[in-house]
Amino acid sequence: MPVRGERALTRYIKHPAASTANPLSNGWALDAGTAILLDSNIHHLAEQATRPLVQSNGQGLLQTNTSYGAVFSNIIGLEQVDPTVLGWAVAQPWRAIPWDRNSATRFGPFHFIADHELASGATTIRPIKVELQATIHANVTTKKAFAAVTFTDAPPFHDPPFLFGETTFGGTGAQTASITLTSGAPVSRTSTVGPLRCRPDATLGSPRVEVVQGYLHIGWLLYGATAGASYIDGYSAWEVWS
Amino acid sequence: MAGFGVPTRPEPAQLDRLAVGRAVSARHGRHWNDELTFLLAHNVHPVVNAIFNDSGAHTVKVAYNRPPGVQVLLVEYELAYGADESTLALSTFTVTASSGTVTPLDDNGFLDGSAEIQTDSSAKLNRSIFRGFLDVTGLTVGTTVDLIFTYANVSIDPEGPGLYRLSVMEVPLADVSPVDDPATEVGLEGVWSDPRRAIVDGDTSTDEGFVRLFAMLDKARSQVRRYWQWVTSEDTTTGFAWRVTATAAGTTFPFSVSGTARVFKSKARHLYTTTSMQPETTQIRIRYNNSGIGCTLRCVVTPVGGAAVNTDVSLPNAAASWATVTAELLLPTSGTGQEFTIEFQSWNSGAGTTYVSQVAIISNES
Repeated sequence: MPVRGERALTRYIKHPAASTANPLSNGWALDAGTAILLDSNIHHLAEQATRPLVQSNGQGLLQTNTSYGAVFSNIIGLEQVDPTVLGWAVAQPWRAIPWDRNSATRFGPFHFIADHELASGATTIRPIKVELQATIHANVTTKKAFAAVTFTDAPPFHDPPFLFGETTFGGTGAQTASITLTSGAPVSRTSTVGPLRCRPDATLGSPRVEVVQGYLHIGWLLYGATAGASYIDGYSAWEVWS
Repeated sequence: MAGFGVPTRPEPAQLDRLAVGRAVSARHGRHWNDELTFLLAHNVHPVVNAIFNDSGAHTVKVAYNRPPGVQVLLVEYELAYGADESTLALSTFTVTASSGTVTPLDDNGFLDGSAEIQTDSSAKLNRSIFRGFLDVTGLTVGTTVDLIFTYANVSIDPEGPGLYRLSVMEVPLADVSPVDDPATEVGLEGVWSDPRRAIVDGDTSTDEGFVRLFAMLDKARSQVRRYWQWVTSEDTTTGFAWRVTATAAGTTFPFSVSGTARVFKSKARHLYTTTSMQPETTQIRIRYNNSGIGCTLRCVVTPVGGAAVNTDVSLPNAAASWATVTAELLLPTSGTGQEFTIEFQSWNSGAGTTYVSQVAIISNES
C-alpha cells in the first residue's frame, strides 16, 4: 500500500460546503460509499502535497575565474587550496567548490517532509528538482552545476551533504542546468539541528517541534583561461515524487 | 490541554476495506483525523527565498496569507559582505505587518531591532546569518498581508553592507488541541470516532462530528497556501526595485543586468478533473510604483511539453505611490509531471519608469 494511500479516482471530488445542514444525521452510521470518497479525497491531497521550494532571481555578475585555483583564492582558511591535487574533487565531489558566494547560494532553512517511500518500506525526504539558470561567457571551458542538501548550516565543503548531485552545462550563453536530488537512505527526525519554536506559548500544545530541517545549496564551477564575465540568472527548486 | 500529536507523514489506508452499503469502522475516523492534521499542520510551506545584491538600507515586503495550521514563521536572513574591515557596519533588522500584528519570539533581538547586527568580511567562508521566530497568530487566517522587513545601517558606513538573502518558512505544529479551542485549532477530537461513542453530525465550531470533518477537508484543499514569490527592496531612489522603462510589448522583465529572460520552473497542484487537467488557481499580487503612465506585466506560463499562455496584468497609474494589484493566474497541470515554466515581460504605456518590488503568486482555490 502506498504511503500516501489509495485513491478511487486520481482527482478531488468536491463536496457540498460543510454546514449544520449536512445530510448526515446524528447517530447514523456513515456509509462506505461516502467513506471511500472521503478517503480518496484525503489521499489525493496527500499525493498533491509536494511543495515549491525556491524561485529566485540570481545575483547577476560573477567574479571571473581564469583558473581552478582562482576559485579557491582569497577565502580565509582555503587560500591556495588545489582540490585536484589533493584528490577531493574525485573522492568527495561536494568539495570541488568552496561554496562561498562566488560559487554557490544557500536557500532555506527548509522543513523537509519524510514521506517519500523507499523500496525497504522506510521513508525519506521527497526528491527535489533543481534548475540553475546562467549566462556563461563564451570562453568558459569548465562549466559545472551542483546541488546539495545539508542538515546543518555548514556549507557542503565542511559538512558532507545528505543529498548531492552535479551536472555540466550544455554550452555557453544562456544555459539551464537541471539536477534531481534523490535519497536512497531513510531519514528520521533525529537528523535535525534542534527543535523549532512552533507556538507562542504552551497553552494549547507544545511550543516546540522537531522536524527534519536543512538547507538547499546550489553551486557552480565556471572558469577558463581567457574567460570573461558570466552571470547567475535564476534558481528554481521544487519537490516531486520521482 | 488535551491535544494529540501531528503525524509527520500520511497515514495510509486501503479503500477495499470499505464495502458499499456497509457501515464504516469507527477506527477509520481516526485515520481521517490524522491525515488531515498532517496536511493542515505538518505539510506547511516555504513563503519566500530571496537573494539580494544590494547595499545600504532596505524595506522588503513579503506577501503572506496565514493558513489555519500555522502559528509561527521561521525567519532567517544573511547580510551582504563588507568590502573590507572598515565597512563592517552595525545594523538593525525589524519585522512588522501591513495589517494585524506579528511578534518576534526567541529572536535574540535579530527581528525586533533591539540587537545591533554586524556583517562579516567577504574573505571569510563563514557568513553573517541571523534567525528568529515570528508569532503570526495576530494575522487573520485567509487574508493576504505584507510582512515588512526593514534593514537599517546604524553606524560607520550608511552605504555599507545590506541584505544578501531572506528566507521565511512556516513552522509545523507538534500537536493540536481542538478540544480546548476548536475555533483556532485544526483537527478533530481524537476520540471522536471511538466506537463506544455516538456518531454525531456536529458543526464547524465544535471539536467533533462529520460537519467539522468536511470543514477540515475543505481547509486542507483551499487554505493551505503555496507560494512562488520574488521580492526586492521597495525603494524608488536607490535603484534596488526592479525598473521597467521599456515601451515595447513583450520586453523581458528587468530582473537584472544580464538581459537574459528568467525562466522559472515548478510543479502545479492538480485537483479536480482528469480529462482536461484543470489548472491550479492562484492569485498574482504585484506591488509597484509609477506616475503618469500605466504598465503591463505579462506572465508567460508554459506547461512542459505544451503551448504558452499569456496572462496580462494591468498596473495603472499609481500617482507616485506604492500600490498593489491582484489578478487571477492559472497554472497549468497538463505538462509532463504537472510541471510548468513561467517568465515575465513588462512594458509601460509611455515614457517613464515603473518600479516593481514584489511579484507573488499564491494558491487561491475557492
